[in-house]
Amino acid sequence: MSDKIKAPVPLSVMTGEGEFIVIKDKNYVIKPIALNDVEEFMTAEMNLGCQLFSVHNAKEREKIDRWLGGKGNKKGYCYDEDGKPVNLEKVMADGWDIVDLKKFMNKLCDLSG
Amino acid sequence: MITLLVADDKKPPDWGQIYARILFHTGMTYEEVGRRTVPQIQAILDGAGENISIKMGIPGLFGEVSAPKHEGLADKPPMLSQFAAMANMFDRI
Repeated sequence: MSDKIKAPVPLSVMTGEGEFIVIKDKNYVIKPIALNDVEEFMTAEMNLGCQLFSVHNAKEREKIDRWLGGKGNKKGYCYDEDGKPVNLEKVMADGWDIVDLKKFMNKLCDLSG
Repeated sequence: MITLLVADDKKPPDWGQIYARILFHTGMTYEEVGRRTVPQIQAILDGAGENISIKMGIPGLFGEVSAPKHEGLADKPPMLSQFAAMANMFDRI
């Protein structure tokens, strides 16, 4: 049985600093979900596809806000160029559309393993 | 063969085993483990020579629930938005 050749793990993975993503000409940092939050994310039944429904539905918007900027004492996973957590209102003001929101969700899942 | 692979992929990770191996191999506290991410945990396990694969996967890719539940629609035919959500999950494949 041959050993699976694994790609080297980037430093950004080990430091947990996340990755940059450019949306509407602005830089955002998306961080991977911590283990403590994985169960919550998996049971939240997040819509990972077209975000049209998510933006239209108040409960879905709350869920998106939870994973963008956090909720209560739970931290979020998307930060602006100044290192501040964003929320749905802010990113919409920055010009995000539903495709950009889907991009964020997919990037969050990719980074989180 | 594919059925077996899919069945294997459906098995949830054994987090008790994963925590035990991480605590064994590192000086991390119990609480610190939860603050790590899945890729970090996987990298540490790989570096420690532990043959443990953490497959989180994309919810719904192998039949698990992923589409948002619509209240009051139990036992009713799926809505068009649910079909669209499911179809869009395959955009990236």
